[in-house]
Amino acid sequence: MNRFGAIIGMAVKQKLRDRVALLLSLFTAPLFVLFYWVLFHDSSKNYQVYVLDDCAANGSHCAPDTEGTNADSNSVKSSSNSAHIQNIQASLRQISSKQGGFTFEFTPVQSRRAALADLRRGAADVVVVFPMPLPAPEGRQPGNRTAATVELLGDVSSSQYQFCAAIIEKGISEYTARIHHMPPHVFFHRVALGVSAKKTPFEAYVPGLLVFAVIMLIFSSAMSVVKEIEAGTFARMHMTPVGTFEMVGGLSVVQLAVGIISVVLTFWVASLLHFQSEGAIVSAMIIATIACAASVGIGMVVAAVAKTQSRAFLLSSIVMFLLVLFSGIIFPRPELTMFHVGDHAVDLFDVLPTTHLGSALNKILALGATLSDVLFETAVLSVIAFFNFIFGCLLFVRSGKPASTPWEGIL
Amino acid sequence: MKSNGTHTADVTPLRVDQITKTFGELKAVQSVTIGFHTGELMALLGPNGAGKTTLIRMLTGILKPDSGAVFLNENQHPGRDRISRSIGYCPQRIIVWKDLTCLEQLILMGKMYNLSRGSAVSRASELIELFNLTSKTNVLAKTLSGGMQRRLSVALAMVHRPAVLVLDEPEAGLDPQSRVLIRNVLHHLCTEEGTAVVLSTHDMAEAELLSSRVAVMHRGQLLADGSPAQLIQRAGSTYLVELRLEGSAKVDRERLISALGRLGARIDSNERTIFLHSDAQGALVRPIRTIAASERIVISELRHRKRTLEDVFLSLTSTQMERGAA
Repeated sequence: MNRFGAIIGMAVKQKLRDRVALLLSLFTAPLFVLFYWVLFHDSSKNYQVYVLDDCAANGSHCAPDTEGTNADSNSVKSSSNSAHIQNIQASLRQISSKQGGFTFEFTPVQSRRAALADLRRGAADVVVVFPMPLPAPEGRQPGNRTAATVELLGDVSSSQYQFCAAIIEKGISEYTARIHHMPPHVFFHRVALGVSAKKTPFEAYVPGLLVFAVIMLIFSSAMSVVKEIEAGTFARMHMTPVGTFEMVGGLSVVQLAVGIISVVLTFWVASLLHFQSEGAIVSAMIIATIACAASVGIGMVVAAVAKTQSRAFLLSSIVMFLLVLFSGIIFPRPELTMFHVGDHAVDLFDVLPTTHLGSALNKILALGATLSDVLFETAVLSVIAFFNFIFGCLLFVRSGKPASTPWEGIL
Repeated sequence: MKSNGTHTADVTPLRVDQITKTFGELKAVQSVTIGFHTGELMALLGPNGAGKTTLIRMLTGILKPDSGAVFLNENQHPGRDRISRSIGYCPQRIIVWKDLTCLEQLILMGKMYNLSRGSAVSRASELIELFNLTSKTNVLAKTLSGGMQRRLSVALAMVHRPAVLVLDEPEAGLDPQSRVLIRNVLHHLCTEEGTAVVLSTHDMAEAELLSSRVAVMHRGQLLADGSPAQLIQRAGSTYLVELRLEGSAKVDRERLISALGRLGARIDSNERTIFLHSDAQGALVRPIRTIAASERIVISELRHRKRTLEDVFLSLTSTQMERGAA
């Protein structure tokens, strides 16, 4: 017991004397809880709902689905259909303000093709298609039943789509029930974009696993550099004519190669196990490669700050928390819009490579997007990768780490 | 064994002038001026915390002095590239790439110095042979013994044939065979290749045996600089008589010291030993015995020997310590 107590005492003293590691261990999770509360406690999620009035778009081809009655007598002009759509939007806004925590932003879209393109590039969470005139109140008589079929297009595997679809179905049903004073007679047809409806749980996990493979590079690149510093081999190289950028660059290239091979292997294994992608796998690999470069850059930043391998591991873990929690790959992403670039709202968490990696992979693998559809993500990821690497190297040089000889002390 | 320092001693590839380095309140190196000559092996001596490593780090360009200047081939601002090409540095700790073979890491270092693949391989093979690592050429460094790793670490500092080779305690933890091997290599470097070797060490015997010049540092200051013989001569006497009085009371010891004062020799003492300095071999032995007999004090051990560098070192640093304490 005496010896056991002595060991505990020794461990406690050592723990207390490595204050940085202790503080990181103790306060990382509470700080993230606080951070989440600051971001989310009074925030509301804004859903992008694109609305296609197919009746207006198709003009004379507009024809209602009927159930044994004269369709002509029940059809209405597209202008009155627009009025219905406006009313439905107002009704949905009422629901959102009553429930709180979310808002809908409605954007009219002119064609189904344009709507699908908007979905693929991630501009819309859902596209609501009104393919026929909604039944007018005066046309609704018992026995004269006209059904309207509203389509809801989107990535059915996404939580945003599911949420929007549920609220929109409720809103439209309530609206039609209210104007007809009878139970609604509207069919809803959820249309899955790409292979999003066919995704098995296995297929749903693959993009996330790829993101983790990329995140792991932060650990390996930071720790490999700190290992060289601890071993003194970095200082040994620094005493040769080799420049710091050459040293860091050389190590980074290897880490990047490891990352790329890991990504290729992941895709290969997934393909062997019948993973189906709607888009080109090569496009996904290109995106993942750029994200690998961004991760290696972050690893350099961590290496510039961390003094030991254990510190590098702890700091990498915190960065991993940030990348996972605030990029929307697991939990909803907080919206902190800072400015707009074209159609894209740029928010605080756009600095995280996983935000764009997750988004781009989902669009390519599930929705069949091409590289041009994910141009924004590709461009931002490239900028992040370049910036991280340069910043990491500069920080590394300024930290004096390349020349540091931790084994010698100061005398 | 000892390098004679006469190879081309007038050539000074590296020298420092009044360099000072402080870390907060601590003056690690204070106004040190010293030059390192071609073909000369200089031993840098000093107790722990004397400032040797800080001086070495400034010599090798790792640290910048707060004041003063480092001259490389009389160039005050040589730049990192010229420093790295002219100076080889082997730190105290063994620094090798554990997951590379001996050959691989020597070639790697060669390439760092822009050697072609062929030249790097040739130089690596030469060093492997020089350091008796031939049987371990293609063996991973992590599987080598500590002594072999130390030899490899020294070899890595020599790949680019530096004009100045700085070694921080290269013999620490070495077995006798490796010790002799490294001494032979250093001797070869000085005498055959004209390299200026700077050796930081605690081993006085090693310093006396190897070096043509010794510099003693203490508390950041350079206390002495010269050949071992010069330092011993400067210390005032060539021979030393050591007396041990086992079991004698302190009062007896003080009585004997007082009586020995009649001999006119310089006397130092500690709790166990009395030292008498002399310039004539054996001259003091008989009078000491006579005085001890007349004082009825039994000398358990009397040793007469030539003064060593260690005596000089202890004398210099203890004087400094006394001054510091005062």
